[in-house]
Amino acid sequence: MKQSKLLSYFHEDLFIPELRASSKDGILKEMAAWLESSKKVYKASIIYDLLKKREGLGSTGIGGGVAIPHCRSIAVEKLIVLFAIKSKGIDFKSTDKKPVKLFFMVVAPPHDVHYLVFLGKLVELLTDRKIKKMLLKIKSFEEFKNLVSEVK
Amino acid sequence: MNKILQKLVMLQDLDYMIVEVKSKDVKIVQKKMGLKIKGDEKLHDARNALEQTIPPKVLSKYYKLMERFGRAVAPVVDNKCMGCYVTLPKRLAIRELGNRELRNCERCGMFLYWV
Repeated sequence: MKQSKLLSYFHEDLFIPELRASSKDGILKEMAAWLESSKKVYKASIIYDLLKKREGLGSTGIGGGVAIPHCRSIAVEKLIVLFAIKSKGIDFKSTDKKPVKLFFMVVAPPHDVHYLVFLGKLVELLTDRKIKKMLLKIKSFEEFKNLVSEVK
Repeated sequence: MNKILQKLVMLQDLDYMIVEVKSKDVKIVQKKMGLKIKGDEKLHDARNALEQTIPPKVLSKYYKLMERFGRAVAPVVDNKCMGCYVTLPKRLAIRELGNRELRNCERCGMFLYWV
């Protein structure tokens, strides 16, 4: 998957520059509610419940201050990704136990063939320390787009 | 939104999740992410508990549809059933209206969920 393709899944209305919630559950709830208010899902509680159950299998905090809560659901028409920042960071029970500041919520329909490829590519991008550092300074979706499109 | 419909959507999503966590492709990606998936007993418990709250007649239809099509709830997009692609009656074009009641597609019989 090319960088431009990866970027095509991100949209301005699916960016939260600063999350209000300060707990793991609160973050999931706030992000799911954002999906409902931006009309990407009909009912936020369906996504929230599913993500909670997924977290029950093991945290999706991949370490280095990043979490990728993800699930498949018929509640979405196509793959959606919601990018959010919590600049203070919160305990998300990550593998390295470090507070999480960057959240990428990924929800895809059950038979979406790009879902796993997208997750893989996203992880690849987020393992770069420089990029992560720069992502934390982002204040607008435009800045995010510019940063990702510059990555080789 | 109709409560039974919401439960059916959850049940089907959980059934898919149970299958998915066992798949090789998912395990490869999870490994790449540095994540470990613990046993799926909790998922089974959750779906079984949810199942208990669904009326037996509805549940029986759910299983019949799952057996026949591999899914029981079909999303509705642009007023089309994504199970068989039939166009639904115009009066159901608004999702708030569609999701208010538990409905089945007149053609394929799947439960309909307006996304």
